[in-house]
Amino acid sequence: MNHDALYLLIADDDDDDRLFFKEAIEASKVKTVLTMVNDGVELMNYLTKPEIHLPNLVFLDLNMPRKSGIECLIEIRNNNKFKDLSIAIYSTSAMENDIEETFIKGANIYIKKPNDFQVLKNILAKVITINWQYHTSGLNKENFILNIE
Amino acid sequence: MMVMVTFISYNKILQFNKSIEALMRTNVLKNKIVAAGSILQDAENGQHAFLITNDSNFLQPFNGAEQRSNLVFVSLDSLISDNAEQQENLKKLKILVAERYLLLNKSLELLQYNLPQSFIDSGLLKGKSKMNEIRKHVALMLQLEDKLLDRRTNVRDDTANLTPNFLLTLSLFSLLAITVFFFRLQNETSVRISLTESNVLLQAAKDQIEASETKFRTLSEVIPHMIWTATSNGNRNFFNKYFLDYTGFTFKELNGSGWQRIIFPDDKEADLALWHDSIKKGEDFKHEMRIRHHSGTYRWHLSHGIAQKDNDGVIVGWIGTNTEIEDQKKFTEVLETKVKERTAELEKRKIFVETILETSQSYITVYTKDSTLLDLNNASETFLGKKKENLIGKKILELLPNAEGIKAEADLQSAFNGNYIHNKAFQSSVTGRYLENYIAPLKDEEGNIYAALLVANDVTNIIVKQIEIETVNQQLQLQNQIFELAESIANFGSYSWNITTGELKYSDNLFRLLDCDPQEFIPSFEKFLSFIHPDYLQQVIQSGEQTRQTGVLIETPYLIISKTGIFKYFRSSGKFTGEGDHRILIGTVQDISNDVAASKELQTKNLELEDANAELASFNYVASHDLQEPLRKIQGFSNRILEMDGERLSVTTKDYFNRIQAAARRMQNLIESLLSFSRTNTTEIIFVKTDLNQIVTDVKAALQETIKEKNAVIESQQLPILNAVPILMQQLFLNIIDNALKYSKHDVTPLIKITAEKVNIDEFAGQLKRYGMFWKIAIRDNGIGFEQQYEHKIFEIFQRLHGKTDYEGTGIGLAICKKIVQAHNGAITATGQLGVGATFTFLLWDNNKS
Repeated sequence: MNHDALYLLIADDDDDDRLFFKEAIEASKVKTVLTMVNDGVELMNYLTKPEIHLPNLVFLDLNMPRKSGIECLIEIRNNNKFKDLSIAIYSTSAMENDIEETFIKGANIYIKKPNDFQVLKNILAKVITINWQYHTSGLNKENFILNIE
Repeated sequence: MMVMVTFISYNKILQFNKSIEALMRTNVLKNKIVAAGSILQDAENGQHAFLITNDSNFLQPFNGAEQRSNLVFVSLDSLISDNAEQQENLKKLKILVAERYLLLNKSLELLQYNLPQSFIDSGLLKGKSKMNEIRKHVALMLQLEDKLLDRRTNVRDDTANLTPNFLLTLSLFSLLAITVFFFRLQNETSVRISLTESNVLLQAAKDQIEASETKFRTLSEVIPHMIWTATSNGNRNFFNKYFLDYTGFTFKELNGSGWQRIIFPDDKEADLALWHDSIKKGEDFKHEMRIRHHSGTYRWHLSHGIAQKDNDGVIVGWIGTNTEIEDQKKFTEVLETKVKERTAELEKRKIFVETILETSQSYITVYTKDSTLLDLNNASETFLGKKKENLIGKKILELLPNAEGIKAEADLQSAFNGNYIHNKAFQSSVTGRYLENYIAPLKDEEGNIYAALLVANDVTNIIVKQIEIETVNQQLQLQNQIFELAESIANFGSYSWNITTGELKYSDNLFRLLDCDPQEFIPSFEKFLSFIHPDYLQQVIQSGEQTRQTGVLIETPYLIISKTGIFKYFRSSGKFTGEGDHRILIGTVQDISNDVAASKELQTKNLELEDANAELASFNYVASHDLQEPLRKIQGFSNRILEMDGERLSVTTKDYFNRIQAAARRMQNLIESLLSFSRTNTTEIIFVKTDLNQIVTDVKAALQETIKEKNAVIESQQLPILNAVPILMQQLFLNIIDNALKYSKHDVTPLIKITAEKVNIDEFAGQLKRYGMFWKIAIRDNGIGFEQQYEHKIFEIFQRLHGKTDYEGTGIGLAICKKIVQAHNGAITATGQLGVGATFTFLLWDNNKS
């Protein structure tokens, strides 16, 4: 167990997106441990395994087969075990109601999947350096959607 | 000389006979006159009695009286053929009598017509006066006859006296002469012969006298009246057979003053007084008294005594008659009593009836045959506006001097011909009021029409009411027709339902709605229920019950099956009128099958639309997500290649990858634009209070990169808060501002100004589908502008004014803006100047309901 490393988890059914993500994370200077799952079911199965090290930050895609991101979000937030778990929605959707719903259901941040790799690197760098303890409180929609200046 | 004397005496005897004859004639004549009078009196009495008692038995003396009178007159005619004066009198009498009979008949007639008592009374009065005239006339005639009788009696007396005296003288003279001559004839037989001859003559004369006396006696015995004679001092010395038979006394008993015993005790004193008075005065004696019949009863008689005077006027005797008048008297007495009673009663009734008549509102008038007003009631007086006195006697044309009068006159004439006229309501040209009249002829006893009765009534009120009712009826009929037509056009029927009695009425069209013939059956609630579809029966019954109790009708549609088996949806409406037991439910029944079908179809279509929309929404989602995903990958991996192996790649290869990325980007833009466009369709138009200032801020945030890149300045006035769809507003402002940034000049700092003003548009102009208050918002830039001629083109979908390599763009942006603005009941226009800039102005309706 790597104590000063940041445990990350990405749940995305798209191979390419997972690939991008992995490469972007690796490009970052931060020490991370990345777990990847393919869909919501795998995610919940993994999270509920007793022996694992709970991730600090979960990147959750919304459109996944079997179990959608929303469903996972609800489940995670209903489980007291995962109260310290920060969730970043990582989705192609820019739909207002998706953003709204994830916000209501307890996601911490909403990231729209960028097209540009460089942009992705920047975003991820920013996200993983946020001091999540302070970030979870006083949320509002303005802060919710991550914007890169 | 003897011969002369004989001749003279013979003449005298003849004269005597004649005088007796004349006397008789006169007596007969008198009797006849009296008879005539009494017939008439009988008639009058009979008619009066009839009037009072209505007993037709009393009319017996009345009926045929006139004929009898006429017979009497005929015999009278022959009797008075020598007396010119009497003939004249008789003529007059006849006329009077005739008139009297006329009046009698008239009175009867009037009674038949139930005319007011005053008419009958006036008739009676006239009759009475006429009767008086007749009596006077009869009295006159009798007087004449009496005079004649006197004369003749005198003559007879004279001759009677003269004759015996003369004869006495004669006989004495002859005796003397005979004696003289006897002595003379003692020497002369011729003298004796003449004496015998004169004796014979004397005898003859005596015989003749006796004969005439006998004649007289015979006559007097035959005449069925009591005849008596008396001496100059009143001692009765002769009673004819009839007298004796009647009274049952003998001559001896009556002779002298014994005759007084036949007088009714109560009348005796008066009679004797009068008799003695007459004797003293030498005047004729006339008295009504009761005389004893041999059966012991007393009967009324009229005793009439005439003084016989000699040449010197000295009364030498009396001759008289007693004529029985018992029946008449009794009759008259009874009649008089009855008449008195009746008169009193009639008087009372008369006043009563008169009051009614005179207060009657009907105009009652009587006209004579020459159209002269004879009489009229109070109402008529008022109507004609003059006093009775000034009206009676006037001609009808004087009273009504216009077309009405002419008509009335014609009607009167028609009535005089025996017709009964009834004029139904006509309008008076004088007063404008409506009158109705009846004209009837009035007939006398003989059936001759002598007058006409005109009764008129003012029926204006009735007529006016009738006209009103007619008018209202016509209006109602018209309304009914209109209503029936409306029913059939609008496909509904009407009903009225008396909840208490259960009586139900359907309009014709309601029957038709049920596919029945109008009024095919008698409507009832049960019959109504028989049409209801079983599924709805419960509902309808409950509804009916509820209505009955609460008095409120709930309008719920129900299904019926018509007579021909067609399913129809009905909806009933109803309202109560009246109160309590008279409450009636009136309402309509409408065939809403079409509406229901349409509604069902609408529902179905809606569901279809919803499904379609859902599909579309999911399609949108797919498009937005799944379509874009490959593009991302293309871009992404191109990017990675360039990043990772950029140095190793040739310029051309790098260029190619760049083009690949660009193409992918364009594709993404297009997809996003299309999504936006479709979202304007699928987004529910729910207007909420939207602060446009906030919208602009949001848009600025969304475009912050580009703004920063171009150093653009976006200035905005204070924008309104209005009812709009926020997401669409965002799109609108985004597209326009994005365009402004995109089409800016390279070397010029983009300056975008946003202005807003409120305008009032009071008519449909351009694309506007509304009018009223609008917010006019203008976004002006200082970019490259455009040629104004292409203004319409730029709002068309996929239309661009530039190539895609010159400026990025899908050609959808402005089309989307147009759609959004239209969804807000507004319009959008653009003005541009090539090389200067462009201004996009859009109107947003201020009255969008949230």
